[in-house]
Amino acid sequence: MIMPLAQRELASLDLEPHTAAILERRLGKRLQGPYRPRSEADVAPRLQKFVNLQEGFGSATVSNVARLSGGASKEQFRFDVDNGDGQSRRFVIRMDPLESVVETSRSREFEAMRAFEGVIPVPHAQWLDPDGEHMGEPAIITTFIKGVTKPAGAPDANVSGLGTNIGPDWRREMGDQFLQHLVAMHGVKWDADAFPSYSLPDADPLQSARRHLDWWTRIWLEDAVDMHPMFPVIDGWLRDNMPPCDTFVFCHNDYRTGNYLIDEDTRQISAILDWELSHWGDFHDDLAGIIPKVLGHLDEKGTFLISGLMPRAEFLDRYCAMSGRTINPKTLHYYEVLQNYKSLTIILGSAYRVAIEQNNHQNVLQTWLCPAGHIFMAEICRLLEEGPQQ
Amino acid sequence: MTPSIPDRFDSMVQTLADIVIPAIDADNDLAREQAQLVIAHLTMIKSQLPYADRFDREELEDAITLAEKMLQLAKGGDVTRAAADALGQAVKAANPLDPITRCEANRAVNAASEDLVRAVRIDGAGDAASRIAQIVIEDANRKVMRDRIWFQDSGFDAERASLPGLGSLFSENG
Repeated sequence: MIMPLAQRELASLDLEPHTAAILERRLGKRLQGPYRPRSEADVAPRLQKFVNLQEGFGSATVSNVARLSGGASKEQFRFDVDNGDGQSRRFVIRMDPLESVVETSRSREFEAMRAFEGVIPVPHAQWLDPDGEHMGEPAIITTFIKGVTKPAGAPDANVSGLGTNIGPDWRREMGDQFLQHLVAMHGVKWDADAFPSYSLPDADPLQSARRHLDWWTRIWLEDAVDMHPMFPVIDGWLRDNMPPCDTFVFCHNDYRTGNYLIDEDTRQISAILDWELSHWGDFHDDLAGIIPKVLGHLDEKGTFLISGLMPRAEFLDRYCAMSGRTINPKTLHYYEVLQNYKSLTIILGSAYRVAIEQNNHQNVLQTWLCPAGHIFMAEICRLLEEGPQQ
Repeated sequence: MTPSIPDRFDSMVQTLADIVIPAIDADNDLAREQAQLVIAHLTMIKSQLPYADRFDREELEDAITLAEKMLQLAKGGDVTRAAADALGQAVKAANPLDPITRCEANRAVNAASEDLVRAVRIDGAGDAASRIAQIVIEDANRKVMRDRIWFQDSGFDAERASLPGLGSLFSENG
């Protein structure tokens, strides 16, 4: 049930048009559940037909379709394609379940990966089924990249991938590359032709903050199972303190350990994944999304490492040195509150909602994730109480 | 004369661990992960079970206490008055001692409290919105520690080693 004042607030929100359309679509899909996870037997014949429709692949053969583990947000399968040239090539298909913990656009993922190919390590975005016409649900197909999210011998990880500890032997090298790729990503210029599903938040200086805030407020208003007065309090604080922005960068918006692959042989980050939350906005926004407590852990001496890689101050200092940007502590603080609000909304709103609607492929994981929401709530309380760090 | 709830949890966990999971196809990582998550859920619920009734009761008692504080500050125009009336009714209908209706009552009080915060931002009088925001933050700050302790076995909390055990939540009041 959406309360009357929430309805009134929904009508006033300012979202990117493409994102608004995706969120509108999900409300219709919500009513179609409960959902049963896709099987290889269901996916394989659809894939065969879809691949054969692609130029130059009319007689290709699809084989070895197998589900990939992980993927709390989307269903993923790997498969091989033999195009009659004697070389089998491996791909990954990433598909929406009926309702995802984050309802996002496969078109945007496709555009982002195409745009960043050759700039930073990404899988090649091969094919797209944006509306699920062929695969039943929206899907993107990319090349399969060798790599792991956690090297062999690293400490046990939480099943969600949050707070992944890659171990002390890998931190320095991965931290260096993590920063290099982030700075490279933030250096790419806006190009309307390359990013047709995205839009710049340039209508006024506050639109960058407002659009990101409104995105998650809409999600909360439509998904909340157990409402709580803290949500409009946080929303109110964020609305009263929006910082201006007139220079935009591409924000990955989920850039963390667990969302990149490591090639254990070359000791290189082989692919940066999970582009679904990306948008154009303030660089502080993306930095703030990297440093929340749930995404990091304490090292062997008890020092907290952001994304399990390095202390916060080191991360921010090195980012500034490498990018030439200067961090405004007040703006970073604002976006830390916003990023924790985003995660809080996903966890206590959407994860709970999709689980009780039984519309997801991992309902038991979604309810398992819910307690992480309290860590985000604790962080927000601390941030509001302490104010910006100098 | 009947198996206790903890004993039934133990038998479910043992069956999943020793019979179901080994029978899952070696390539079926999704099924194995989900089965392991079911074990983790059952194990955590078993540890919470002795305290669950008190935890749920205190959740509703706390929601009512916060709502009553908010109502004292909720002065304003028509929107605020309507939201305050709705919250007052939700509080009146809630009975923390009734385990059957407790969950729905907690949802109703929290939903009406959330609506009141939105209302005072629209036409609350004077500093009503900021004063209510302050007591909501103070309440959340206190309650979130309880939630972190309650769910510490989920493993998400980087500081979980320093959190006290579940029993500490109820050691001073019954």
